[in-house]
This record gives sequence, C-alpha cells and structure tokens, in this order.
Amino acid sequence: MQAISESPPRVGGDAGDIVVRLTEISKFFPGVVANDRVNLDLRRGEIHALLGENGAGKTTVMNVLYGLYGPDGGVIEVEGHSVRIKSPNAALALGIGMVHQHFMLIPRFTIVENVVLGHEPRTRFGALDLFEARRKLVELSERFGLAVDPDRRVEDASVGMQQRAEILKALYLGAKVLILDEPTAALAPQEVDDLFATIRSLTDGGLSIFFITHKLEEVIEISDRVSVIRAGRVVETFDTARTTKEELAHRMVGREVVLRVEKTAHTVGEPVLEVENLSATDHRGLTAIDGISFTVGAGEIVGIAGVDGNGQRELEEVIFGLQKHTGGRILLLGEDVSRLDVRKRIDRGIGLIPQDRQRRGLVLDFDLVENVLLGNQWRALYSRPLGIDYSYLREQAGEAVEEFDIKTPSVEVDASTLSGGNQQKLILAREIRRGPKLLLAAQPTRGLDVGAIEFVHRQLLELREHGVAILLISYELEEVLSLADRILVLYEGAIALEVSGDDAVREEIGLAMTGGSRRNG
Amino acid sequence: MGSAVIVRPSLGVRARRLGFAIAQPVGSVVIALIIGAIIMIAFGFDPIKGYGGLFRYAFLSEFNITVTILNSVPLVFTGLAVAFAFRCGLFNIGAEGQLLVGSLFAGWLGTLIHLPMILTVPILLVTGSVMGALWALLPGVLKATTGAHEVITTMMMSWIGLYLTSYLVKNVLMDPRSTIPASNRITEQADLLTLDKVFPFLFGRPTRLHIGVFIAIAVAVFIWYLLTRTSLGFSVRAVGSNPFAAEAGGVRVSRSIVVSLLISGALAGLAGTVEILGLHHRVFDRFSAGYGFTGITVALLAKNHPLGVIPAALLFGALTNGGAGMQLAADIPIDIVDVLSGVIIFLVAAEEIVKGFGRRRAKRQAAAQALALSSGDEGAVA
Repeated sequence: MQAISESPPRVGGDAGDIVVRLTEISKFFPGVVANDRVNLDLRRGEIHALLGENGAGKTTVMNVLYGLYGPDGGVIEVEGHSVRIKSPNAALALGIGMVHQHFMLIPRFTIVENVVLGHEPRTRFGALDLFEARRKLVELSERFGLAVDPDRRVEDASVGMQQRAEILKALYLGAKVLILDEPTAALAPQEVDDLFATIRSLTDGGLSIFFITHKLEEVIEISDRVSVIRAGRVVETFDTARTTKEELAHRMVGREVVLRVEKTAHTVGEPVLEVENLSATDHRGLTAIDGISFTVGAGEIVGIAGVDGNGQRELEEVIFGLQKHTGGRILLLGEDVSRLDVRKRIDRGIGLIPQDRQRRGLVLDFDLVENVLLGNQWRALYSRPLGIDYSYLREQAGEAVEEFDIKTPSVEVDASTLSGGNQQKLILAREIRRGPKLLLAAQPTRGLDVGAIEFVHRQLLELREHGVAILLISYELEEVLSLADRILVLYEGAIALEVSGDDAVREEIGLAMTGGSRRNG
Repeated sequence: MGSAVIVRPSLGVRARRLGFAIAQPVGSVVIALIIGAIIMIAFGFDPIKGYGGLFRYAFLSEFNITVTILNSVPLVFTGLAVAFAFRCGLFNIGAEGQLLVGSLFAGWLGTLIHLPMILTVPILLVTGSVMGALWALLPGVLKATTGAHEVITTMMMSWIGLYLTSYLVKNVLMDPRSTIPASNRITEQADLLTLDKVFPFLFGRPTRLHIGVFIAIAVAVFIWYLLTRTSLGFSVRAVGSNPFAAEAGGVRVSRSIVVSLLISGALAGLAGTVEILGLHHRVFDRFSAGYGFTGITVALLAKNHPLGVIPAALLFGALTNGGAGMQLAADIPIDIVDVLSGVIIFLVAAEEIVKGFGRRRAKRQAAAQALALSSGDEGAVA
C-alpha cells in the first residue's frame, strides 16, 4: 500500500516544496456541485487555511483528500506522485491524517486505547500490547507539546484533551500532512490559544497543515496562506500577510459584509422579563444558578457574558420552562410564569433560540414545513377543528424561507439537509414570526459564518427596534459587546458584574468572567 | 430563478417519492422470495411448485381469498398498534396481551348484555379497545414517570394478560357444556354482519367475510389522518423523532408517551374484539394466533406507515394461509414461511443493503446532470 517512493521531493521554484497538490478536483452530490474543479496546494511546513461559509465545500474537498469520498474528477498528487486515495487507511499510508470537527473517539476507551484503535499492536502471543503504544504516545506528546493523560477515559477528558488525542492519533499513525476541520469550534478561548501553540510546534516539526475554518480572526492569526472557497470553487489564494479581514470576508461571501452591525441609540420600555432571586440546579443536582435577579426591558438587549458552564444553560432552560427552578420567581410582563409549562410560556410570548439548535431547536427528520409548525401546533393560526391546515402552513413556511433567505430547494426537504446557518435561520424565522415579547437567544451565532452572523445580528437588532426584550446568552464576548445594551457577567451561577453596553470595558469583563473581580452595579 | 421557493412539489416528484418509499419493502419481499427459492432448491424441493401452491392457496379461489383476508384483518389492527407506538419512539411488543385482555372483556360483556345490534356492536368494540388501552396504561405511566423501558414492561404485562385471560376463560367464563375452554356464545346481536348481508348483490352465497374488513381499513385511514394531519399526531411524531425539540416546542412529552401507548393498546384490543365478534362469537382460551407479535413484523414491513400496514398485513395473511398450501402442493414444510418472514424483516431492518442500489444509481444520474449543467454556462446548482 506504500505509494510514496524514496525519490527526492520535487522543488517547485519559489513556490517552495509542495507536499500535496489537488488539481481540478470535482465532487458531485445529487443536485449539488460540492466541489467544482478545485485547485489547491500545500507547501511543506505551512499552515494553509481553507476559508469559506458553511456549505461552501471546504470539508468536502478535504474529505476527498482523506479518502472518505472518491472524487468525480481531478488529480491528487502527494510528494509529486499522482495517487488514488480510496480510504482513510490509504490516506494514512500516504501520511495524511484528518481531525474531524466532531471527534471520532470512543468515550469509554482510554486515550491510548483510542489512539491504537484499528492498528492495535500485538504481543507475540496475539494479545493487545499497549505498553509500546503508550511509550510512543508519550514521546509524541512531549515532542509536540500535546499534553494528554494516556490512561484517562475519553469521556472524562476535556474537549481540548480529546482534540489533542485526535491529533496524536494522526501523528501516531505517521501523518505528515494534517487536516484540521474547524478545530476551534468546540474549544474555550484559552484552549484555542493552546491549540494554536500546538499547531505552530507541529509545523516547526515539519508537518504541513490544512486548516478549515470560517473564522476570519483565526485565518489572520494562524495561517501562512489562505484559500477562499465559495460555492464549491476556490475563489482565490492569498498570502495571509498580504490581505485583510475585510477583503477575505468580501471574497468569502461574495459581497460587502459588515463585520460589526451598527446599533442605534433608543430608550428602553417597560420591564418585560423580571427575574427575582432565581435559583436552579444542574443535572447532577448541584447549584448552577445562585439566586440571581435582573430585568430585561422592552426594546432592550441584555447580554449574558461568561465562560461556558457558569449557569448559562440552566438559565436558558429555566426561563423557558424546560427545567424546574429551585427558588425565586420569573415574571413576564408582571405575571409570574415560573410555574407554567413550556406551552403556556410560548403562549405568553416567550421565544427561544436554543444554544443546542439541532437537539432543542429542530426535528431534523421533519421537513421545513413541520419544523415551522413546531411550537405552533396547537395555535389557532394553523389548527382547525379537523386537524392542521397544512396548505396554509406550507404557504407560511414558503414565506418564512423567502423572508429569512433560507437556502433550500424546497420546503419539503428534511431540516437535516440544511447547512448550519440555514438551520439557524429556520429557527429564527419560526420564533420571530410568532411575534415574541421576550426572545431568549442562546449562542445564536455559534458555528455560523460571517454572512449568517451578520444576518442574525441584524434580525436581533430589528426586534429590539420593535420593542422586543432580548436576553442574549453568548460565550463570544465580541458578540455581547457589539449587541447588548447592558451586560451581565455570569460566574459560577451568580452575576459577577453588571455594566451598561456603552461603558463596557473589555478587560474588566474578561476579569469578571474568570472570577477575578466583583464590582457591584 | 432567484428566490422562488417550491412550496408544493409537482405530482411527478411526489409520485417518485412514493415509489422510492415503496421500493424498499417490495424489494425486500422479492429478495426474500428468491432466497426462499434457493433454500427450497437446496433441500430438493421445487420452488415453482412450492410458490405455485402458496399463491393458489392464498388467492386462487373464493374460499382461499376469504381465509387470506380474514387472516389479515387482525394483523391490520395489531400492525397499526405497533406502528403508532413506533412513531412516538416506543416499541410496544406487548400487543398480544392487550389484544387478549381487550377481547376477553368485550366478549365477556357480550355474553351478559341483551341490547339491539346498533348499540351492542359499538359498546363491545369500545369495551375491547378501552380494556386493551388500560393494559398498556401501566407501561405508559411507568415510562413517562420513571423511564422504565416499555419493551420490558409491555412484555411483562403481555404475559400477565395471557395467563389472566386463560384463567378467566377456564374458571369463570367457560361454558359448562363445552369440552374445550371457551365461553358461552356471545349475544347474536354482537355478530359483525357478514358481507353477503351488507352487499347481497355482490355475494351470491353466504360468506365468512364480515364488516370487520371495512372497520380495519377505516381505522387505518383514521390513524393515518390522526398521525399526519392533527396536532396530536404531530406531537407524537415529534416526540418519536426528537423528544428534546418536541419539549421545547411545547409538547408535553410524558403525556404524549402515555397517550401513544393508550392508542396503541386500544388498537390491539380492537384487533381481538373484531376477531371474536366477526368469527368466533365466543372467547376461546388463547384464540389469538400470535397476532400481536406478527403485528410487529407487519409494522416493520410497512415502515410504520398506517396505510402501508394494509398491504403488509395482507402479505402475512397470505403467507400463513398459502404456507399450508405449499405443504399440500409440493410437500414443502410450512416452516419455510417463517424463513421468508425472517428474511423480509432482516432486509427491511438492514435498509442500506436494498437502498444502496437505488442510491448509487441516483448519485450517478445527479453527477451526470450536474456535469451537463456546469459545462453549459454557470456552474453551481443552489
């Protein structure tokens, strides 16, 4: 299976030493051209970012390189030799490894067991020999500064460690070329810094890296070159040092993008949401929210900032009625709703953009029509004495698709076929068209590309103009800073800091997020 | 074309979609028949003679087709029972017990009351479904409150139901003059009309076919409507597909679970009640030929579609009936029928195998299409 010969690497003039070259790669799926004659090359020791919106075809072309899909056209060259890569094992034999966005680890196995999985070393008697594997793993881990505990079960390891384990697995199997698919999507800010340090040490060690992302900041920070992919095609490849965020955003979306939406000053109305001494526990029964109080007024965006795991999830679920509170009250327009079930709270005018959109927000194997119906199924709008008025509902779904610019061939396709950004637009469409008085927006732009983020932000600001109270829960400090009229920092289930959006001081908020300060009011 | 959204796909598209949906179960049955033939040849039987016998005894005479249809009627109900629960994500494997309990109490009441037919039949049908539903209530409540798995609890309740009905038939209801464990005759006012009485112009002579056939079809249509056109059905399906999203959509998940199992149990109870009122007119000990269990198979083959249950039930009705014919005609053991249904289930469950062929073709076509498009002028298809 060995396809690399010992021939000297080809040197391509000033382009440097090309490790992988993709020429005219095309890939078709039913009704979609995922990759259209894509040309890419990877120089030895470089970090080459693939930048594009969700569904642009970045991951597809890398899956072709990794042998998960056969290309429908084009040539792959590795170390100057034309190769056919029919499976991930073939890719690994050529020294190409890939770390997917969603880790492919077995939770019950330890890290070293996961690393050897599929290539288990045996003793002479055929028994599993983890000793040698463990030694090699520790050595790699030290060489590249990838700290892992080899004997920890994956389910007990942090997301960052799981990711390092994935990278180590590829290195263990001899990868010289590493494909990282949206590696920062699941990481906390601190972990992102660690990851970037790791990536640099990998390239210093001679590896070459394809880095898939839709985040402009990351491209600027980490990459040597960047190829912008739009609608399955490589639009252009830049030297990162010679481009700007604005230019990249423009090329990526195909139009001018406003990276930070302008917010108009206006007055806040009556309080819509009043939270009084609210407490709740997490799924283990430990205190997650510890007697917090705040209000959100009509036409006001209150941003909850904080690091993941400080009570945000419980706050979202408790206010919407998905989880019981253990103390305090929730008032909506003066009425205590804290004992009402979800359905009654929806009727009272609470809308939810859940942070877990695929789990909480959509039924993925329902079509768009029925996903628009979700949460409206009992309402007079669609419900008739003899059942649901599907023809009217279909019309409404069609309108929602147009109004929110959801890219889909029809409203009768399953929600699972939409890209992440379009799924989020579908949820927004449903919740906003219901006409909420209070909108809980939790992580409304997570995983979305710049174009979709701009869209979501505009929608939220428009709701604010219309007097809707918005509680924005986000782990992206930038997002909170750019949208919120007031900012509450949640730390260990309590409000560590409250500042108005105008005098929001980034450092102070950052400090409060990590428990560094406690200023009152 | 810009932003024009296709709100309603054309008739052709929908017909093709239906074709795709049906192709897999039908393909599974065809492959199962081929495998059955190979097994027959391997054991020295003549598959042509065998299947010929099967077909003849299943369909080719008024008598045979009557038996086939009568076999299918309870399977339509139990198939619906299992399919309905499935759509809520629940595996009701205890339909057999719900069927027995439902029909026992309906039959029992039938031996006691004396009312005109117009009242008797509805009263007994309702009794049978209510008792069937009650037999599924406990598993439903346990699932909703404690998360106890319905596969365990419905099965346990099924055995309790089986022995309970058996005990009651032998010790309480048994006709003292009868030599077999059976109740007194149920009031004649409860007999489901036979079709020769309803449609005298269609049937020259008396037939055993009864209006239960139409009840079964009507109930299947009703369940289809309930599932696909009402908010109750929508909620049930949402819970079955993604209970977390359903919950956030205001669906009361535990209530949906209980309601689904109640409806499922009611359908199973109806299966036994129609069988007794239409054919036996007495409650026999263990009169059900495993209809509750075959219902699982029927639902699987129907892909849990309420209307698909009708042909699926007919197939299994025909197989049991024709199997005997196969034995008579070609001396092939009737057990081959079990092999066939086993293979069918295996293939339906292992979707990918049968689907794979179709998908690969579709992919090739799409690729060709896309290529044609992109070589034309502008490339990407949105």
